[in-house]
Amino acid sequence: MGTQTAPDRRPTLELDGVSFGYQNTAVLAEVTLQVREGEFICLLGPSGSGKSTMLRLLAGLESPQKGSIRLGGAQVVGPGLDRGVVFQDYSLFPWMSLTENVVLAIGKAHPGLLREQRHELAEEYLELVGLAEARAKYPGELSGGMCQRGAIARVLAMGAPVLLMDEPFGALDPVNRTRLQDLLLEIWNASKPARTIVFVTHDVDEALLLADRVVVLGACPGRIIADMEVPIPRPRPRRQTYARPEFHTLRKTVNEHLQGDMLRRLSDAETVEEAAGI
Amino acid sequence: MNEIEVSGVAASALHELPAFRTATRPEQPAPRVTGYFAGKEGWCLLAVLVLLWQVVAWVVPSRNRFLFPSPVVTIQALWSSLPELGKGTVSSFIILIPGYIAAVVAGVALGILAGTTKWLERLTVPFTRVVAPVPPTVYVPYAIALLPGFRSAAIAVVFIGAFWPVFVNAMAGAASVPQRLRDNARVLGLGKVEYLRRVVFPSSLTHIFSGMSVGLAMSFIMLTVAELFGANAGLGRFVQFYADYADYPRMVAGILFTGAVTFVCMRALDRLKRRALFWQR
Repeated sequence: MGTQTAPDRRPTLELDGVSFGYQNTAVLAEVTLQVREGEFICLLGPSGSGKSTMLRLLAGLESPQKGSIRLGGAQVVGPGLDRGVVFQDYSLFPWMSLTENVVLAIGKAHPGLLREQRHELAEEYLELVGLAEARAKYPGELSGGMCQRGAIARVLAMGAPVLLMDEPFGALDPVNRTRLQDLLLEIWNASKPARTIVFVTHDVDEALLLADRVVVLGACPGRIIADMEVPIPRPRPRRQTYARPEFHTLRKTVNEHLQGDMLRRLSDAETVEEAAGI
Repeated sequence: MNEIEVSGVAASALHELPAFRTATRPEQPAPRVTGYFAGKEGWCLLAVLVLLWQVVAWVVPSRNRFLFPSPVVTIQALWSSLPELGKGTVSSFIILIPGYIAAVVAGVALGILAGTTKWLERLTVPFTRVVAPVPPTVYVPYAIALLPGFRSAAIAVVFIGAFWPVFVNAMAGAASVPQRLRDNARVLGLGKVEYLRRVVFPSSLTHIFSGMSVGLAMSFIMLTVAELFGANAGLGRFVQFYADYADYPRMVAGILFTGAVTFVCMRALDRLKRRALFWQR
């Protein structure tokens, strides 16, 4: 893999020959990947490429059948508070208000804090994501975008150095998605030291706008087919970024990789179902 | 929980479809029953049935009239028995409340443990398959013989009657906590006790409440059956006593009163359920 390790950026997440599958289906085959500290990396691929599985493995929700996953040199066994996770939906407990949700997470991540301090911290982070007014509301009373803001506030409040995000904006409408992408970039740019983010998406533009590096996955079984840096300087104002020639070149390359993988599957497969990985 | 599950991706994808959109957002509101009787249909039917009862009571030959008291006679009997019925209610509740509450607490605690622990779940299989379906009324004579005093025996049978529905439902609820919520609890690093208390319990509440309402109905059945056997006070005892003395107006009044008490208790439980599950609306 093309990992040009800069001297000040050591690899923090390492997948080494990781394979995973269910019964007879291989979901991931021999995946090797290094994520550097403070890097924003996007896993991009069609459904069936195992990108969500990869994130679950990194989160410790699943264990690899072959190979190893290390975080800061130590083997990953099970979930840990050093990795914050944002799921596509359901990230908040519906029977707790936004504040209660964030306070619960803070209580686990910073057990030394007093009750009032936990509440103060929770409100601080809810304000950061623009939910100060809605802090007493319950997830059922909020829109999908607001729930994801809450989930981001929660994961930030936990202060984990590594954030794992599984299509966090996938279920949102375009306007909310745009807003949340900007919010995430803003927060990530502002945080010192920069957090490491692994972000799963199937949206090429989203990946190129957000990431330092895009890892393209192919399907059936899931494996890495391309790994490319995104040499667009930050900050990346949306309009200017979309207008840059590099953006278009990269988009074209990524799409070619995705299309190539799809065509390969179509020519290998006897049926369309097989090609789709059904 | 089902409502929450559908409100995810599937639902939002469905809403994208034009056909679905028109189906869920009708231009005109659905035709509603309007006028004076709207929403009161059940009560109207009840009124009609009472009227029918009165008519039948007029038609019944006078020598059988003591067996089939008219509504007017029954209401008079009810009115004059109110103090006695009140005392009977208190006496019944002294049995019902401890038995029911103990059943709910034990049923929820054990059900949640069994629903989240594989070996405990396997351990309960013979009991939920063989013991739970036994109609609990069959335990009444033995409980009265076995336990000291009628009250403790009655509390025990109320407990048995209410325990199984609560337990089985709590277990089902705990076993069906959605994967996403379990993942969430795991990535937050919740401990076992915290997980059970703050995730599994609230997530199972819908199931628990259906178990609780079946359990409440069961405990009324158990209570009155036990009282028919050996009480010297209580609602079931009231009915049995006046039946023995062939005072059927009072007996029917007792049945109606017991029905009313059951109705009030079920409504109270429904209120509690709505308050506890406010976040589902």
